[in-house]
Amino acid sequence: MSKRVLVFFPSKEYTESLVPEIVLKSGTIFNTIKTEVTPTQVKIMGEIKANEEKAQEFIRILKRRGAVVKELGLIMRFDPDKCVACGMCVSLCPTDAITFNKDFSVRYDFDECVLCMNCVKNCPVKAVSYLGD
Amino acid sequence: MPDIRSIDDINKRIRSGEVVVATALEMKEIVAEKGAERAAKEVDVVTTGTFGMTTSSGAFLNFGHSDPQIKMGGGEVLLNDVPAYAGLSSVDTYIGATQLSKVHKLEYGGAHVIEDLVSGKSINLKAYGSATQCHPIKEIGGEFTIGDLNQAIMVNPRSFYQRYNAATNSSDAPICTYLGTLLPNFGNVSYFSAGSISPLYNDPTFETIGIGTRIFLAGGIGYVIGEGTLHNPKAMCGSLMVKGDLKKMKQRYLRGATIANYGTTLFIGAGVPIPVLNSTIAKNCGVRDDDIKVNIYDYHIPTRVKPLVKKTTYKELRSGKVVIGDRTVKASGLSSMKMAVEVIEKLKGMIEEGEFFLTKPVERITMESMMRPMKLVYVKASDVMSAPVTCSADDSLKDVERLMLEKKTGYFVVIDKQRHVQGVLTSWDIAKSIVTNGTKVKDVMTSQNIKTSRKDEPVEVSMRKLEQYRLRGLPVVDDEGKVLGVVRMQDLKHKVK
Ligand code: SF4
Ligand code: SF4
Repeated sequence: MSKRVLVFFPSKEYTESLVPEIVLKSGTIFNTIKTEVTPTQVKIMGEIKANEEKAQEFIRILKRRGAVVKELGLIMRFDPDKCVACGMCVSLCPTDAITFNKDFSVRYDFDECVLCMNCVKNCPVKAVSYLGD
Repeated sequence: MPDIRSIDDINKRIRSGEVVVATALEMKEIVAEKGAERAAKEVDVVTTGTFGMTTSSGAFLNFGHSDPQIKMGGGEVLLNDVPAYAGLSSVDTYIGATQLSKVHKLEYGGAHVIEDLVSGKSINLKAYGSATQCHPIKEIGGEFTIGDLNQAIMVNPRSFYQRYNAATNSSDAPICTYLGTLLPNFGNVSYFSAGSISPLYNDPTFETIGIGTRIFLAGGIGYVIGEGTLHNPKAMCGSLMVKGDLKKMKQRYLRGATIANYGTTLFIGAGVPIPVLNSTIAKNCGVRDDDIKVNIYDYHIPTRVKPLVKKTTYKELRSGKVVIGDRTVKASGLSSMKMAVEVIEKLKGMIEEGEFFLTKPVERITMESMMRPMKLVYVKASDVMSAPVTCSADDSLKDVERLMLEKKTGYFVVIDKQRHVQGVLTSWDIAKSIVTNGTKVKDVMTSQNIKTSRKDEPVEVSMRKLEQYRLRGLPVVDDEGKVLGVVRMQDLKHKVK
């Protein structure tokens, strides 16, 4: 189980040790996918690796420490009807998120996705899209 | 091998519903299990196919005459802002897959226009002609669909291309090629072709596929009309030219595509039936992925001849993982196996249902190869260079100043005893010596990052360097780096003309 979140910390609330601290305290694994630092805020896209209950607890702690948390639903969309199963994305994916089925069709497992955008940028028929931002 | 059946026999069996059709995938198993002789007895037709990027593709369209008439030929034709060929008669055009939209560039090209036509979407036409007495209209515009056209005929000069190279990238930056993005440091391997189910691997000597062969083309019926461009059957790189009625095609088998940062192209699903006339033909259809050799080349070098990274087979490529050195690299083929299998199954069904009959070619496809690199006559740097005025790094500036007046030049190539370029010296460098108190050439010459021209480099390239680096001249060197002459902007300007 994993949950994608966008976490916004106002710069004054944020220190580099903040997230590791919360992880240690809660015992929940959190993968940082992308961090964007601006003068006023720090925006972290990450993945909470836990069941719903634990994930909600993790989010509560984040909020207590001053964060605004936005839960992301599916931020990647794969349209199997558009896909021609050319396979281009399969070898460009840095993880095992994209694999071939037995019948040579292509399967996406967004739990494995690290949002590198290789598939989105390269799919020749635009069968994959990013819904975030 | 003597023939055990004719195409007429096969068509009779199609009519009576007795025909036995195997897809290329099934036939490989039958041949492996029972041998070519038995396979030939049991199977009448093998269906082969591909679903891949067919870059040399496009369609002829005829709009019918307007009233009053317009002469598009010689003018300009735009379909959804994609330029189409205007070198035909007044209302004919050809839309090619790779032509890019003037507005959307890589996002939309001729391939997308063709897909939109096939799916019945309305297309915007803008045409500009030259007004003549019989064709007084200068400009025409409006919307049309494929149904409004008199003819829409796909003609692809290169289809079913048998073998492509596989590509990888050794450099430390990603590169964008016609095989898609190649990740740095051998990050992936990319290749084309449906391998052993693709038509020309099953009939490599063109025993049955010839001019007039009826094929499945993008959901409709098509015909082979000759060998394709770059046809090189002796090197297992055959290709076919095909045509078909665009009006009968289906979007499922025809899709416009964009290769990131490269261009547009058309995915086409196409199938060729192979009549099993004898056991040799059956044996050929038994070809397997591990029989087909493919070379993986390093595409970070933009020259035509690229370094070979590995010799492999379709079997390894198709496994999705290729071993390069001590690493395992992901490989993907830009030709859809899923859709290619759908094509061969669909064609099998059409033949079994009596919807598709086989034809006997009216002429064989040549086995002669026609594939040479482009030959161009161009002006080389060595054609326009002038004799170099040289000096050595240890010469005194006084001597060079004398030489400067004598030879009436302000540009010197500084060379060593073997005539290798060590630097350049200009009158400006000499002028600077007054301030810096230099006395020798080496005190004031430019010796870092010396730009040179190779002797067979096109002058356009030399000219670009001169402009880009704001240089007065470029030493022209041979393969060993020895100076042969100098190209200067002023020489280029009048000599090139
Ligand atoms: S690149 Fe696009 S069309 Fe090709 S397999 Fe991936 S999602 Fe499908
Ligand atoms: S965005 Fe990157 S990691 Fe995610 S599925 Fe696409 S290629 Fe894989």
